[in-house]
Amino acid sequence: MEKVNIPEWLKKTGDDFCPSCAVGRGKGFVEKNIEAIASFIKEVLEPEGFANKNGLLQQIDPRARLLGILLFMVTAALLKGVVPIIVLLSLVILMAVASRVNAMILLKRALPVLIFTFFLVLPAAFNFITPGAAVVTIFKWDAFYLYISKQGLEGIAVFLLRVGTMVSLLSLFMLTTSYPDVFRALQSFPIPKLFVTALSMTFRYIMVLIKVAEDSHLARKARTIKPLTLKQGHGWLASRIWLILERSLEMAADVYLAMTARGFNGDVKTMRVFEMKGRDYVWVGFSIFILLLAVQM
Amino acid sequence: MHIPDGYLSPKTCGVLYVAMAPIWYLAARKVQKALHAKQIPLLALGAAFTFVIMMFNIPIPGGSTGHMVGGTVVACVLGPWAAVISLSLALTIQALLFGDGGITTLGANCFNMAFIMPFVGYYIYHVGMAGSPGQKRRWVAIALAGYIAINMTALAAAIELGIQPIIASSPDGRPLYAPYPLSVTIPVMAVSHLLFFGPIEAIGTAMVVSYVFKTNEAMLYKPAANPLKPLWIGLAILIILTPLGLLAQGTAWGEWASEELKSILGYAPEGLRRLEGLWANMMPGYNFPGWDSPVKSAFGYVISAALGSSIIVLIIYLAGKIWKR
Repeated sequence: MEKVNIPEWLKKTGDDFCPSCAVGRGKGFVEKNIEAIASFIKEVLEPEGFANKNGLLQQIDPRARLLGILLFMVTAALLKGVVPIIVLLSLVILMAVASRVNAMILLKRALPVLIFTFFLVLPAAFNFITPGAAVVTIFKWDAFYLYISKQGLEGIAVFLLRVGTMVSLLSLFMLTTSYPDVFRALQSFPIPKLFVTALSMTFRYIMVLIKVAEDSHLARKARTIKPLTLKQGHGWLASRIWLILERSLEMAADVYLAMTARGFNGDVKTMRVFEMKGRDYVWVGFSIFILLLAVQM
Repeated sequence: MHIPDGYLSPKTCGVLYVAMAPIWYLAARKVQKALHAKQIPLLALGAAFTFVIMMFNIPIPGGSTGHMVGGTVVACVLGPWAAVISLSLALTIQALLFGDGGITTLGANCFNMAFIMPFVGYYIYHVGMAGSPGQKRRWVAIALAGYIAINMTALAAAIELGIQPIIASSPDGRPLYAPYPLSVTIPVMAVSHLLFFGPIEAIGTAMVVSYVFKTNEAMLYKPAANPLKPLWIGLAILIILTPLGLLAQGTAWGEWASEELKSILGYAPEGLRRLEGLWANMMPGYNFPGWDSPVKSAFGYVISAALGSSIIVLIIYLAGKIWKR
């Protein structure tokens, strides 16, 4: 029988068996992209189910809900002291509880931005960015001082609290509103209909294109047994991006024909089924009241 | 690069939303004129494409990976005006659904990434592509467009963040929004984008756009008129406006002559005095000798500006002619 020479790397077993198109060391870009796509699809297709619960925010008309949340966000942007922002944040947490939104899930959504912001603003506590009254002196040498200033600490606290409050507000809206309702709510704002329609279509076709991307990455992973060179990696990725571009242009033409066949002439018409009720007005009134309070301060 | 909610003061957010409004309006008008009813699906798919390529990790030398913004790619494929709308849509989806960037800062993010980026990228791409370049020059031109575009975008973001302590601090010197001054934001953004994000954008843009060139050039946006025309008009306006410099008091900082330095410092450095007369220029002080009346010196300025820019354009043109490959 003819002797078959199996290369050494093919005999290896274990987790690091397929380097998945890694260029150089570490996890390859193909693997990273597959992970990013998977977590994206999971995030979109796996709603936490808060939109259908019978909570405070869910009972408010989506338009009024969006307007109220935006007003609260402006309020958070205007507040300047630690205490008022903590009061507002508590109000947001109360709203989340009343809307039966799990606090952990809200925190999970706000956390990445908060962690990023925390490390970003940390140096601002020191006197070389924010001079002021010293709270903790780190060292003093001749005329050179390094200390944490009271103003710096307060500045950081206000900044972090504000970012946290604003991110939580937007997350709260997105968690309590289904995607179709988000776009329907946007339609009643003074934004040209062209944009809102294109926005909802964008969202829909991201899912289609991301599927094309996922398929091509999985196919590449399945066929790859050896790390790629940088040039190969670039060439392959460029060809896939080109493919997605081609698909999107083709699809745009097809969608246009389908829309024309159904009588679309460039005017966007929408079905309006929302109706503002008493409690919606109360909610908007309440958010305006809070905003006015913040302006007064 | 995506500025989150709470980083910019309400004033800054408002100003940038107001700045974006006419840009969005104009973009919608231009796109409507060019594409009619086809616009909605094309813009939506363009935005979806933008969103997807922003998600991709691109391998870079050394085994690491990074993301690109893709503003230049979209501008080359859809044209700069459609790119404004597609990128704005993609940024809105990112902000609303995925918490990447903010709602109050959407105007700012769109201004940086959906306006500055595609336009800078688009025009630099066309300057680099003037004439009929070969494959190598094309690659360099596209990479350069992506590189400069992302750096200008970063500069805009750095300025927006850096002016926050100036326009919004409490009386006791406590910063209310983004706490770092321009002297911190600009170097930090410049270094990270010149060295890291810039090369990723350059590689990503060059690899995608040159691939499209090789396979199906018809997919790229074809401008109806000469794409460099607005640049020529802009240059002409700037040349005509140069006499405004005459209104400014004093000399530009650091450009003092030895007599001026003497009046500022009390003495003139010896080396400076020795080297000053080394080169007798043709038009000292951007004017012709003897043209001293305001009208004449304004003309002198315009002529100097026109002459200076023509020399630069000529050099670039000749370089393009020589480097055909």
